Amino acid sequence: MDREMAMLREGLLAMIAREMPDAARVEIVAIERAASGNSSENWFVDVRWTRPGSVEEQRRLVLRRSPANEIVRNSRIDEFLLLAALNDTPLPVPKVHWIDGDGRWFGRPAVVLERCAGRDDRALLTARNKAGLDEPTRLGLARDMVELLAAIHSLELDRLELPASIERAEGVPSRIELDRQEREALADEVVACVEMRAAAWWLRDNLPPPPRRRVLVHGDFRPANLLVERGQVTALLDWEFAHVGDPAEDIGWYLAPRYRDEHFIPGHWQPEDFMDAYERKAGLELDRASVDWWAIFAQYKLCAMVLAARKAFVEGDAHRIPVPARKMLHGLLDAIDAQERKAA
Amino acid sequence: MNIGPGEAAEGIRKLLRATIGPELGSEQAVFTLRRIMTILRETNWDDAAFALMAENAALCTLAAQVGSVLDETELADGRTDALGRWRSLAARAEMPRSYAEAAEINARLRAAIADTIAELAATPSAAGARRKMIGCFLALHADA
Repeated sequence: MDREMAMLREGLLAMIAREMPDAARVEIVAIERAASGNSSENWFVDVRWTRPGSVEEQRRLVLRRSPANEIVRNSRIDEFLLLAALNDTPLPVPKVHWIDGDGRWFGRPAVVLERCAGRDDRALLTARNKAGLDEPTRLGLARDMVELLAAIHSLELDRLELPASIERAEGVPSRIELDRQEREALADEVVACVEMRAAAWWLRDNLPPPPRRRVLVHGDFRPANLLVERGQVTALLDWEFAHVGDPAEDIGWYLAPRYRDEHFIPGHWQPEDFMDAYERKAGLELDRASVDWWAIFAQYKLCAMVLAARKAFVEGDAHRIPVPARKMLHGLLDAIDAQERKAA
Repeated sequence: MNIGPGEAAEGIRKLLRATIGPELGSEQAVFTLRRIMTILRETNWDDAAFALMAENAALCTLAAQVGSVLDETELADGRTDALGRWRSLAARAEMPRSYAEAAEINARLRAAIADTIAELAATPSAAGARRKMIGCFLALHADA
């Protein structure tokens, strides 16, 4: 770890020297690996420098580096370009500073972002939340999240300069995303995962129609990816899944069986409340059948990530400790079974 | 008598919690230790081989069940090889000599099923087979 940190320190100093040639007395005050980020390594870095006129500045930064075994295949460059585009919108996203697209400074591709105030908490909406937020505050946050999602989906795509991979090809979003995910799932198989093959078969047979309007899909919209301070959202993070597509995809992801226990407040904030509030804020009518499909697709995608982590672990990446796949796969098949029963 | 795999895993988990955990200085190390302890707790150390054999038996049963559906399904000529391969593994699946052999049979069974799924996916009239297979997979996971 010491050697790793020394390499990152050296890389940061070299990057800052190039990006800010007028900065003098650059000093890395602190650097620590953050205990989050499954698809990236996140490092918290405090840096100090002096600008012309003896102005001393200190920055709290996050260095997001691609892991050795990349599970999410969107590139750091695309994430950087997307965030740069979103920095010109009112969305609460971290300001982007610099990018190491080819890993020349950090050994692997990386981006350097502003570190926003607040903390992430997967259990944010539950009574187990780390900050001890009471129910009315949590309910307020749940509503703020809907507002935020509606704001993302309301962005005018023509006005954003999006990287080509995020734009996606023309076509039916459900088919495009399934094709993409299935390719990745097959590439990550250690043995043939017949549960996933059967699920893909079902998903392909039940593709929802294209949406009326394509939007920017965050792709991992959930409480775990928010930073919150004093009951207020300060930032939405983890945009590596983002792409242009069907708004129902983000809704389905939020409703995925895997997350049901964490995303709602029993008796106060149920899936229908979430969808109704979204429809009011976004001015869009959700096709419930499409949402159901996307929720199952979300579970499929989560299973694919678990299997990818398993493969990386088996191949020697000790940082990829996989959660047991069996329960996840059962959740996927169970959701398909429930959908079939509903249809019958 | 040697300690069993489950007992060893539980002992290691206790050591990690009581001795290693308090010594860790970084959030990332604590986070990783928690995940390691979760894996130690959730892995079925004692019965892994039996569970794999049970899964293989269920996959063989599934072959028979899907076979009966396939009889009613119009498949193009020459598209039943995978099902034949799948069924032929049943005898070997009954009594493997090692965990590695059970795992190898499992991989072969799964490959044959995957090929069968691919054949059925290319057959529009096979919707019933699909439903049946998903039901069988569900039962497989519920029993495991």
